[in-house]
Formats: sequence, C-alpha cells, structure tokens
Amino acid sequence: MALKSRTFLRRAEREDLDTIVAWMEDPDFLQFLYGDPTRSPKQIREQIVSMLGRAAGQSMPGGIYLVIDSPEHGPVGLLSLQRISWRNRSCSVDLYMGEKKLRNRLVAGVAFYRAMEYCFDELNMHRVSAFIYSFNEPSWRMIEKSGAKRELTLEEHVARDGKLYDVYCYGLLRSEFNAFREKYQRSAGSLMSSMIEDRQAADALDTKDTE
Amino acid sequence: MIVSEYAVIRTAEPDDAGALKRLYDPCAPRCCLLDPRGEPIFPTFDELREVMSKSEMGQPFLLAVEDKTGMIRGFCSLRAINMEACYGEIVLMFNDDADYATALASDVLDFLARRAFEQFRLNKIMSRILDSECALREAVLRYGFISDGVQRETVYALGRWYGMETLTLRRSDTRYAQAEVSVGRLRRNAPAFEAASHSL
Repeated sequence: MALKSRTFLRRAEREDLDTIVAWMEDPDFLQFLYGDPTRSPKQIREQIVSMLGRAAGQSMPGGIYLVIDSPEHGPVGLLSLQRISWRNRSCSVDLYMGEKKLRNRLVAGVAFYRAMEYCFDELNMHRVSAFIYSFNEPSWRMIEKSGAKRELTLEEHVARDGKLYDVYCYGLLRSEFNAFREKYQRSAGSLMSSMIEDRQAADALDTKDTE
Repeated sequence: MIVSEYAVIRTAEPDDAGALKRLYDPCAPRCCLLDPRGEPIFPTFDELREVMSKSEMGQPFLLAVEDKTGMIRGFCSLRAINMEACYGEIVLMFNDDADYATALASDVLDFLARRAFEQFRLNKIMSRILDSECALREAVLRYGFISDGVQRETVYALGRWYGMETLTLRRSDTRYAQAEVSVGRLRRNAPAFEAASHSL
C-alpha cells in the first residue's frame, strides 16, 4: 500500500494503539472530529479501536481507516474514509494529524494528496466529500487548494462550546483531481521533496538546539 | 390525527406499507428514500411494515397524508432531529408529482414547519432533493426554503449521475420567528412542554 513519496498510508497495527490513544486524549481530537460531549473517552477509544480493527482488505467495506506514516516521524495521523458507496463510487474523508508539530499546511497537504490518490487511483472513487467546520480554516483552505469545490454551506449546523458554527461540504470529483494533478505534477513533486527536506533540516536544527 | 383544510395527516400504520412501497419506484429515485450512503434501496413489504411500526424520538417514524376522501396521497416526516444544533430534516413525498403544486403540499409543509419550530423549537429544517425531483423542489422553494448548495454527481442511478441539493428553511424567515423570541418564556414551562413533545 506504500505510495510513491515518503509519507504513506497503511493499515493500523497493534503497536500503533498507544500513539492513537494519545492523540485521542488531545482536546483538538474532540473539537475537530468527534465532538459529541456526552461520549466518554472510553467509548471514543473503543470506537476507534474497533474502526481500526476492521479489515480494509475486505472486498467492499463501508469504511476504511488508515494510519498516515512517515519514515522520519513514525505515525503522524489518521485517515478515515466513511460512508463508502461502491455503487456511487463515493465516500467522505476525515483526516486528522495527530502530531501537532507536523500540522503545518504542507505536511497535511501531502497527507491529503496521498489520501486522494488512494481514493481515486486505488479505490476507483468518482467523488470524495469532506465536511469541515467553518472554524477549522486551515483544513478548508487546504482542501480548496486541491481543486475541491465548496458545494454546501450549512449555516449554524454544529454546536461547540455552546455556540453554533457553519459546516462546509466540499466535493472533489475524479476529473478535478486529475486536472489538479496534471497541472501541478512537476511542481508538486519538487514541492513535496523540498518540503520533506525543509522539515528534516528544521528537525536537525531542533535536535542541535536541544543538545 | 391532524385535520387541515385539504389534508388529513396521521401516523402511518403497518397496513399502509403497500402505499409506501409504491413510492420506491426504481425509475424515479427519491432522495429521502436513499440510504445514508446515497444508494437506492428496495425494501420488501414486510420490511416496510416493520419500519412503520417504529418511532424516532417519541414521534412516529412516518406520517401518512390523506386527502379529504381518505385516499393516501403520500407520506411526510420530520426526522434526523439534532437537538444540540437545533435542526431536523423534513420528508415529503407524494405518489403523484402534480400534488406538490396543490394546497395539499402547502398544508403538509405548514404542519411540518409548525411541528419543527413550535413543538421541537428547532432553528431550521432542511430538505434534501435530487436534481430530478423538480416538483418537490418547486414546492419547498415556494414555501420559503433557500438552497444551501448542490453536492454534484452524488448518486448514480438509471445510467446517470444525480446532484443532491440541500434546501433550508430557517425559523427566523418564517412566521414562527416570533416564537424564537418567546423561547425564554416557553422554557419556564419546559417540563410541561417536553412532556407534550414526548407524548406523541
């Protein structure tokens, strides 16, 4: 399942559990993904563990949950493809970057790009949807850059901390992703390489400072 | 049972399964009859009977809409109510598209809006429609719903792609807007109000 760049997607292993549980304890995880305040941490943990345990190798699963990994940093996030319709060749995507220091737009962008490659090139999807809360601006800015169109604005649709916020629905069609890929193929490759190199250089500097 | 000028709206009974089954027409997909993934489903008569005996949040799963002669013209419902964010989704389906342009449709929409905004104190109701459901779209637009946008090429049926449009009616844009101001007053009597909601 490893894709071409150094960031890749794979099925979760038992060894990933501690990392993922640690991400789940971050308030951001509840804020951006699983916001039902009535659910206990135990319930959320059990749900995630059961999701990750589901076999992606199954021929027509309704949901696929993968770990975003990189040789440099180890597991960095979670990708979940839900409401997969094999008839409509569509699904909705949630992407969570667990490692806060890697939550800059480029790393998330590469992870999203890999996720879309997986959806369109491996799963043969026709359309990918993403529902993003209006307050999660970095996410919807990033998805807009991939060529996805904001199709719906659901006003005052999600409650967080006693306030109602808008939800945006984005749709990315296969033709749009292919157009995006064709347009940026060369620059995307070099962009990703330089991003990884920048990141490594920054990490090297961090290590040096710590010493 | 609600008796309005043109319609009689009552809880759908398992015996109405035959009338409901006629709405599952493979040649005319309806958004409200798709499953959560947007796929058409074709339930059996027995499955429909079972669904019609269920309820959601203390209210019947589905309501039958009869004309004054007692003939079932269609079904309606207020479903997927999110009490935290105060919204719900309406379902309105007639066997004959011509009914969407009649006072029968206005009566049913009136009933659903009253139920959502007065009884459940929701802030908005939504209607999801495939781009082939022109008659329903016109009916809800006429009633005051506003389009939130279209999810393109979401459903594949009959050899083509369908877009799915979401339309919303906000309480503040209706005659129930005043009720919003008086929510504080209603909340003082909340236990009685809640009890009334759950007794349905």
